[in-house]
Amino acid sequence: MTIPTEPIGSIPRPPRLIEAVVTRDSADPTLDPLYEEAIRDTIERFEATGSPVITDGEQRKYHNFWTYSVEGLPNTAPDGFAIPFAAGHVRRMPRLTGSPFRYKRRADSYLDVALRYAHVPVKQAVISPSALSLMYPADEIPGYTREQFLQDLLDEHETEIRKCLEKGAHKVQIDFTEGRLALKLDPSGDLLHSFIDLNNLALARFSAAERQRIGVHTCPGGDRDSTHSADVDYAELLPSLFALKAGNFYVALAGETDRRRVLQIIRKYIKPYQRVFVGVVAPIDPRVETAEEIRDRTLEAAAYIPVEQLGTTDDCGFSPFCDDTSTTRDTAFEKIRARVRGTALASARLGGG
Amino acid sequence: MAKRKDEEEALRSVALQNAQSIFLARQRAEEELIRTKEALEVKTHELTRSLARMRATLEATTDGILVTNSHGQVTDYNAQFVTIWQLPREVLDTREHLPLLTVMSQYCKEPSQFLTRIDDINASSPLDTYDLLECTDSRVVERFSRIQFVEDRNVGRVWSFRDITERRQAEVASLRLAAIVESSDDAIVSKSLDGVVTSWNAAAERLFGYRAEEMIGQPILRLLPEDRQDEERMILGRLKRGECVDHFETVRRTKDGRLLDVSVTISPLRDGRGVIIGASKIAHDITVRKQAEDARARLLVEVQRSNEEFQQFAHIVSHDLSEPLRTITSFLQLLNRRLQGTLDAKAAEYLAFVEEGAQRLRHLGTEIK
Repeated sequence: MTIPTEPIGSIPRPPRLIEAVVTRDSADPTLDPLYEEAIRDTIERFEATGSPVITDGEQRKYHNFWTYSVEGLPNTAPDGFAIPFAAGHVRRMPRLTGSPFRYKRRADSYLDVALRYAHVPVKQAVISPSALSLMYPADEIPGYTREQFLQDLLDEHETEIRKCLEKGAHKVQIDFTEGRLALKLDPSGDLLHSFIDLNNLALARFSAAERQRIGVHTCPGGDRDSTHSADVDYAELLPSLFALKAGNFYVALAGETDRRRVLQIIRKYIKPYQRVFVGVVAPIDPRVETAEEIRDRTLEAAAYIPVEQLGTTDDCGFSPFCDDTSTTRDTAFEKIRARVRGTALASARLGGG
Repeated sequence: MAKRKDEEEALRSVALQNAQSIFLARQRAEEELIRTKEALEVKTHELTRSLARMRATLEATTDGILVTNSHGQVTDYNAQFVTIWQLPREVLDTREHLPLLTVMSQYCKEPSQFLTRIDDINASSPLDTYDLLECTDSRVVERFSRIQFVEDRNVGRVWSFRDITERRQAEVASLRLAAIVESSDDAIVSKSLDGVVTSWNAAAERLFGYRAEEMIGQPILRLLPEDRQDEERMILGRLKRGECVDHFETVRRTKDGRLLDVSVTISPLRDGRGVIIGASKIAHDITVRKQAEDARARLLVEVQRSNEEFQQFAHIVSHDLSEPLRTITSFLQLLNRRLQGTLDAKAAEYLAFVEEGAQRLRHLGTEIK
């Protein structure tokens, strides 16, 4: 049986693009040729790795994977909550200042461009409603209740996913990196459960067949070779994670210190209709894994997870924030190439592809 | 450090406020789910009843019904279909069209033609088809098929089979009867109960001179001479009572005005429920026979007249001959007494011959009378 392998999403932007975005507004139309060239080159190099499924490298997600859909909204202020990273830096969210809540842009617009260049299936990552729910301030916005906001948020999220599916995304991956963060903020687990509930309210709007094309990605939140919640134990997160009504899960594993323990937890909680893509590449590790290492990590996972429910992926995007230059494009593609080759070696060892 | 702690606290506060709102949203969603589930149960119940009605309808039809999908799988069939084709359970259980076709083809006179036709239908996907299947056991089965559309999408085909063996036999018999009627020397026509002609055979054309298209739809009274128009009322009255009019000899008028002697036999026509809906009339031309009968009658009269004249003549002859015969006989007796003993034997023998002839003549005269 061939074990499927998919990327998470982001690839470091070309230096020319990063420099240009720093000096100009990221939505400046004069940047369009640079974005277009970055996407074209990313897809070309992605396909050259042999990856059966690719992304556009999120070259056009302004700023980051978290706020791309709301960046620049007139009814926001830049002084939202800060997400602290272990390395000491913070990433700040925009704050909603008025009604109504609407996305400024949807990820299907990125898919339009990627599909023009791609020759293999393209997946598309979107941000979770639970992540964006943190945009609503502590004090209620006059005339716009928290409930109204959440309803609008779910509507926008559903529309984004539906459009991606309609346009032919191989998979739509919901980035849910705040899962472990929720446990960090509220060790009781109530906050995590409310995040799960909110995301399930969104997933419930899709049919069972559609949900088989929807996945959820969780990781400790990689940025500049650092994380925001790696110190939170997977044992607390995973039982709730698999309660999400999605067909696929992309779980960071390569960076974990005790992978076997995590795999045991996954085996315990994964449902028969779910597939787990375990992370076999660690983007925050500058060293490129060998194909043999990937093979062994995959075989290790196959010892715990039924092969028909197993896939491989990267632990995280290689550059979730657009100005992250901690990993080079070359390194990212080399790591992806290793993942593709290593997964194929594991498949061959297991008697498939 | 303190600022970060404050921010974390604020973030926690917002997140937990959100959690309360999310909890309420989840409650609403669960309530909605319960309502939807209840509505679904009602719909499921309705659907179950609807399916039961559809199944009953399918089984109530006298046709054999088979439903296949576009992947060549059997999605439904009724008991009559199984009966017509005598399909074994193990073949039906495959739920595949091909094994069924293989069995069905074995009942057909032309198995390969049967299978080729199915291939053609599957390849060209016509909206509907009609075929007549001749079976090896002399049965004739009509096959209709039509594409099944669900929400404007072609999802397969519905095949219906009807055993029309009896109908075909009736049609053949009807055609044979029609040929007999058409080739008969007798005029055979049918008419409705109000006396309108409904069929007209070739012999009727020859006998009465009217073509079928001239008479069908016209009143039969057209054939009746003016002095016999009442006959039709009498005939229709008897027919309505279910009686036959057998070998009724009458006269009818031809297109060119001639009067024909005909013998007609009129019988009521009944529909499938036995209700009289008209009459059939067989007319036989008896003109020649009538002429022969007239000639014979005339001859008989002539013979009788001749006979009477002959008897009268005989009487006269007998009467007129008796007197001279008595004279001859008397004088012969006188002559015989006078010459007694004088005549030789020969002369006496001659005289006896004369006397015997006179006696025979007198006897003949008595017989003529």
